[in-house]
Amino acid sequence: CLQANASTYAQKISISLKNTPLKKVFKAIRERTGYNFIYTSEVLQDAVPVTLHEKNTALKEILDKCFLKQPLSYSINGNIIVVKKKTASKIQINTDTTIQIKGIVKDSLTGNPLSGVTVKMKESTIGTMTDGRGRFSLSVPNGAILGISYLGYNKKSIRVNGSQDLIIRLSAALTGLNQIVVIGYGTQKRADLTGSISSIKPSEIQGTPITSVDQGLVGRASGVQVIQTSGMPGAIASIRIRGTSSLQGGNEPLYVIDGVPVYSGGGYGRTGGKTQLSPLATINPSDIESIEILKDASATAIYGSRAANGVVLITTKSGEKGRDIISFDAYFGTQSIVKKIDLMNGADYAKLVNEAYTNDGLTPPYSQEFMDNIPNHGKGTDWQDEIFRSAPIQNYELSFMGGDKKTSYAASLNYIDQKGIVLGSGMKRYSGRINLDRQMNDKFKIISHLSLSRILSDNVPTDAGGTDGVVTGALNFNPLLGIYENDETKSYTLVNKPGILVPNPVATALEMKRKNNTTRLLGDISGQYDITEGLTAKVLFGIDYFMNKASQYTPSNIYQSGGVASATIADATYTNWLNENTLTYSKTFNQNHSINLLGGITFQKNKGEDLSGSSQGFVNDVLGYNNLGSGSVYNQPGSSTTEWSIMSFLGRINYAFKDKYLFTLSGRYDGSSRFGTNNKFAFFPSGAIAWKASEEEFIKNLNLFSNLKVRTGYGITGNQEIGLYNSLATLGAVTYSFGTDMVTGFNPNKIPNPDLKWERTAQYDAGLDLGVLNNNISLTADYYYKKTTNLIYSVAVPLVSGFGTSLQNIGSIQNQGFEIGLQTNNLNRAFKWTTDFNISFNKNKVLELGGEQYKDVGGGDGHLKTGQVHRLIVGKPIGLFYGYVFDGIFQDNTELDNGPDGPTNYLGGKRYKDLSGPDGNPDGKVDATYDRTVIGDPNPDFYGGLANTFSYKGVELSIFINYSYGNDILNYNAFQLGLPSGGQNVYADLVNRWTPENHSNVYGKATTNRSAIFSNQFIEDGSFIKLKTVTLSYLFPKLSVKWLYGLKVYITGQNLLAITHYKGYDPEVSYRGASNLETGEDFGGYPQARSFLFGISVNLN
Amino acid sequence: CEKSGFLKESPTDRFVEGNFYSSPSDAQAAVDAVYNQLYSIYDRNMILLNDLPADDEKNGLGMPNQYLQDLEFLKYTTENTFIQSMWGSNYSGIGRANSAINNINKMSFDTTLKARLIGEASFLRALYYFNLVRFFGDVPLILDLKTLKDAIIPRTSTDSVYDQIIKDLQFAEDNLPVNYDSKNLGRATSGAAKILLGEVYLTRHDFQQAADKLAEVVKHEEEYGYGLNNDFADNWKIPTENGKESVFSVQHLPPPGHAIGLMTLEGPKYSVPGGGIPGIPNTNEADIPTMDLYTRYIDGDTRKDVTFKIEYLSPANGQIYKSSIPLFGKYWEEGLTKTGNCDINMQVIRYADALLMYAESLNETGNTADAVKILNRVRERAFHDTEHDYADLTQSQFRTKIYLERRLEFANEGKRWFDLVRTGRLLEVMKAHGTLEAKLAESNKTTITQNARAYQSLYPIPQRELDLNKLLTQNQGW
Repeated sequence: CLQANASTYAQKISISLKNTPLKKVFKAIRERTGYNFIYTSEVLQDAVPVTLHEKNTALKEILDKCFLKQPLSYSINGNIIVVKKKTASKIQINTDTTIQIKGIVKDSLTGNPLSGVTVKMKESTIGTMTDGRGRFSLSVPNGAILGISYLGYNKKSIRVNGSQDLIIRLSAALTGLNQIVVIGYGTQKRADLTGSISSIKPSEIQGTPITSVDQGLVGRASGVQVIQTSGMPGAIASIRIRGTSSLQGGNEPLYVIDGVPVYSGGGYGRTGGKTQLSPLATINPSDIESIEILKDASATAIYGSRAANGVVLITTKSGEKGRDIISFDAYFGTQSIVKKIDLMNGADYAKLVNEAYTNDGLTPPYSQEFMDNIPNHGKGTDWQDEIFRSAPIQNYELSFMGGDKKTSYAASLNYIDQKGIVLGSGMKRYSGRINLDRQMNDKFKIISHLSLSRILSDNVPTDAGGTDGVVTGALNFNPLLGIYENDETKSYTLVNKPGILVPNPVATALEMKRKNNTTRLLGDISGQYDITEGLTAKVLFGIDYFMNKASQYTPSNIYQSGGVASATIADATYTNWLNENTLTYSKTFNQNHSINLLGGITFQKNKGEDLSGSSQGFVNDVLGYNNLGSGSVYNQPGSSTTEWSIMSFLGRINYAFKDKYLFTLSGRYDGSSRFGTNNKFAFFPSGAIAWKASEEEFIKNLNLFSNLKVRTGYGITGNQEIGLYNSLATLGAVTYSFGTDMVTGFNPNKIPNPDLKWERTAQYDAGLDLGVLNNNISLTADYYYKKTTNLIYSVAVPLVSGFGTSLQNIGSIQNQGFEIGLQTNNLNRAFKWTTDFNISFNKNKVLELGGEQYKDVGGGDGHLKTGQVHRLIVGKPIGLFYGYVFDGIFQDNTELDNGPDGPTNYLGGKRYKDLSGPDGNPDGKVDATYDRTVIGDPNPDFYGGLANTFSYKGVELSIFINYSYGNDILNYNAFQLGLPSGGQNVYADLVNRWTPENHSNVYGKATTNRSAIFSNQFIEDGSFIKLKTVTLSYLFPKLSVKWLYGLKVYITGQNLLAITHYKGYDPEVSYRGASNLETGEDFGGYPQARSFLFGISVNLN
Repeated sequence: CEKSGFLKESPTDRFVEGNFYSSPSDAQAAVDAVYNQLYSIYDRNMILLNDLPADDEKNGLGMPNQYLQDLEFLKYTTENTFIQSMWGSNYSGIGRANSAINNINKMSFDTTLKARLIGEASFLRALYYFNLVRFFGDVPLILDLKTLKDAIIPRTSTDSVYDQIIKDLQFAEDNLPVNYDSKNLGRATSGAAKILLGEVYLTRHDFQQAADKLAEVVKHEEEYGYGLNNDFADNWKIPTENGKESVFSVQHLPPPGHAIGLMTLEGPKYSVPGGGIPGIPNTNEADIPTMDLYTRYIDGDTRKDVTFKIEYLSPANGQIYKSSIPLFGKYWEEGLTKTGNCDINMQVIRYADALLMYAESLNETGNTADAVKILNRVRERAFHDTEHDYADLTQSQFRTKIYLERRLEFANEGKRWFDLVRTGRLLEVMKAHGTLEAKLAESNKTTITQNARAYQSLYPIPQRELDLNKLLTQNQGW
């Protein structure tokens, strides 16, 4: 009654009515005063008749008497009297029968107080909400039943039994259909989704030794295959959502961090090997509030040209109103190698070397005297022991969160120091974040996120193939040599001998300095204005500033320097800015129709600036890479500046009918600078329908399903990750010298293609969400079919053109699959047990390759000269291994005479199968054209994860398993470890190699002849089941210290056990990083560590 | 509207066709890029395809890969990467030359400079096609590539390719200067064009034209500034490598320029006790001489100590280290500790070659007496006396002598295979080589005798090219 005034109340009237309905009373008052009443007929349903006998009484008094027994209230606004139902808090309580109770509501798991929890007396309107400290007070009749409910938590009822301080613990709901899910450019209730979206609880990866969120996605969501490329701290994990849909373009999902789209690609940095660092490691995993993985076109099409590989939405934590919490978390741990590869000791190796040389008619290098005096009792040097170490890890985190009615904030600081299990490697991260929201007035709100992080990464070359890299080095280095050639002067043994040129891995790890220092500023600020009810405008500006400085110093005392110290610094900066302007409108009509509209226009531009310089010939090693100018010879500097931009128009319509039938239409019209002038723009539409069957009466009557929804959608998405300037006829710079003068020449280095266009992925998805037993069992299943056309590929062209390849849109590929996520609440009493299981099946098939039936792809290995080891074949999955079939060892002259004629036809040499010949029959000759075949498939038949959590009181045990089945690995290491050439160390098992006396059928004769024929002998089954993470935690119960709100301690073990037939260090490996075509290879990869952590988590008030 | 501005791709850090080929310096840069391709053709690969499969070179213990072993033992296939690389890098050079010639032709600037630049590119295009016809026989002749379709053509007959080579070289000899200033040392000269043209005629057994063309230079050698260095070794010493004997060479500079890898590849490792020379790390003894070659040199031939190296001085301790076998020496830069910085030029045509080709042409045209005189110039330089001169040779005797002389003179210079094929002796020599090596050094060398086949006088067309261009046919036998 804001505008009620004295004169209103002063007006006096007379009125006399008996047992009259309220409606008629209002009419009588209107006639006498001119005041109008506003109400709905519904409001008056419960009104009681009124009896009035008043003379010259003030209007207010009359109204008060009218409303005395009504469940109604009134207010006067000008000459209008608004009649409403009374709100709960205004209901008068009969104090004779009620008691005052108070209490606190907490999260049963963390002990954190929960604010905004509804506490309501059942079958009444009496209720309240908890404040910022989780506290509430209420007057209720003794013995009343209180219902406590909170979004995302299981409801709870308790009976009031006398006045007391209640402590109510709510457990988080296993399946929150009411859970708010972040979707592109908005949020939605999970129950209302029409697309396929997996949500990952960040709590699952927090408190584990994971430095970057991509690594933490392993096995956590169906349809999401995470390939750990390397165990190096901070290394990128490659992610394939619903299969590989590009041959050569990017295959990683688009990451959207608090609304800013960031493509992380295959990683960055210069580590000396193929290992790349993850840009996502700049985000502290503990800052993350939610991770949503958008999988089908209906969910992703709003991201248009960048959505074909799926989208990962990362939302960081923001403060909650009315609750200030300071948290401190820390963990400490140790990491070590999971297993070693069993290699020859010094004595056995010396015998092998001499045998190989003797067999070839050469002088054996080792004398008997030498062999009798091999150090370490014949063991020699165990190079694996020398490069691997037990490495500490520590992580500290301090965060502040909270807010009041208008402002909420979340600020955090994080420091992590992870040493690597390979000597000389490790990373440190310093990061800070401030997220701040402010409601400026009723209509206008400012939202901002800002994070700054710095990563200092020390790298050693691994995954380097051939002879480089310290892991390859440790496997291959002659055990008869020591780390030092001269133990007194500490001068290193430079290189393996006799045999292949492997640099001393210990010297490399310790002396070669490789540092990647990365600074990233990621932030956005947006203003949100409510124009009218339901209509909101939002303008966002975002920036992603990413700077990497890669420094390297090679001192003169190691092999790689060639005796001359050299230093290189490469600086790469990316500045990516974003402007998004969106309008959203939502309204419900007639309670049956609810719509939500989104429209927007966005601009994004990225500028990359690179600069590199190097010099050599330093006087000493003191300055390292810090002063290039102090070198004596300066090498050619390099620099580049690149730009790309995208502008987009986007729109989405969500429509729900009776909250049962859901429709979504979305689309994005994208223009990208990267494409040919003839194909700059493209449209990416999608549509989806869902039916919430469980809302239908006939389903409800079955009393079986607590949730039942079917959904289906179709849409087109694109892939713009094809690199820059690829449609243009660019010229490249080369140098030549005349006399002592260097000149730069320019020549065309690309065949232009103005028609170059987007890769286009059309995806169909059909899904089912099902919950039974009050959602104690809930299941999500999806079938999808994806077809990608206009594949971008560097098509091999005849070398006579002067070029090797030309970038064209040549082919198509399909992925279809089935994925299931199952969550069950097995026990839910004092002892709780929940299970979260997912499994994914994806079948990939190449449909078309520009008219050809197959293409040999990939580089093979340059050192081994394997040639190309993968073949793309129309009708078959991507990445197949293509090579010869090993057929045992030539045991005697008869076998040798029988052939076939191959590369190693001598006694004790390897025999390969003669599969075919020019006329379709075996021709007695083993050759590349007719005798190679598909010998392996790196794609798993299925993969997934299984998480079990057991809790009893404050103790919780969670066990996480991930698995993959049916994927093959090309174990490149085995080429050399199975080759008794006397040129490098080999498997210990090679003591059983072929000799005239020992007719091995696996390992050939010792010979210095190095034949690296790629056969199925090097293809191994990469299936595994891993006990990935086990965490045991204890949440202290009631704490007597007032300022301490929660205290938790935990121990975590990571990579505890692996069941696999794979002979390398780790079946979770990808030597070529995030490669599309060359997956499933292992060549001197950095093994993942087994870690044990102890952690503590404290919440302060 | 927005399409043209916000989304336009206009690189600022690189040239695109359309904003290049406008000034004379652009034209110069386009031609310089054609020279750059010499590195990938010559630096090792020319030796690998000329000397390794022939009787001069073999793989050291540096654990050669299969493709290298296949070359040594004459077992190579259509998929050999070194053969493919030779094919590809010559065509890449031709592509650059075509694009330079065709674009410069459209430009207008100083006519002398323009003709010189086109002449340089023509010389290089001729050299690259000459390599291709000698290795592969008929090859697609491409002079202008507008679209990819222009590359899908059948092989052009050797004769037609030679017609183009001769045309290009004739343009070059007419338009190139005799010499350059010190800032342009190493550019193609008219003398180089004439000598190369002479080699083309000789290769085609057009002996009279060869003799005539080479005579144009040899008879006026002082005008061209050509002659033999007194010291054979001067051809591979930095201060003298661009001297009077150098007709055309691949120019090297240490980093940041392009160095030559041969010092690393040919330097000692396994044959020196302890595994290499202290203070000179990184040598890997991959490409080493055959005993067959080493035993051909007689005492007094100063070329022996230049071609081979046995004793090495350690910069670390000043001691001499001896290799148990002779290794190649022409590309060993004394005093250098980082072998990767070796910048000795690689001689493509030395004046000694012009003389020996001239002598050979004279002999084949019946003028053996003059031929002997020319041959003796090379021998006198080699022995520093006249006692090893030849006299009174028949035409046929002369052939034997000059073939041997070429082998001794140009060992490790990437000419052997061409010589054997040109003179029709490949099969005979290789069969003998296998047998000889087996006696001298390694028993497994007899397989070379078995593997040698007549059709190996041409290398196979790379399988990759046959797969990509169905109009191509394979050489006979492969």
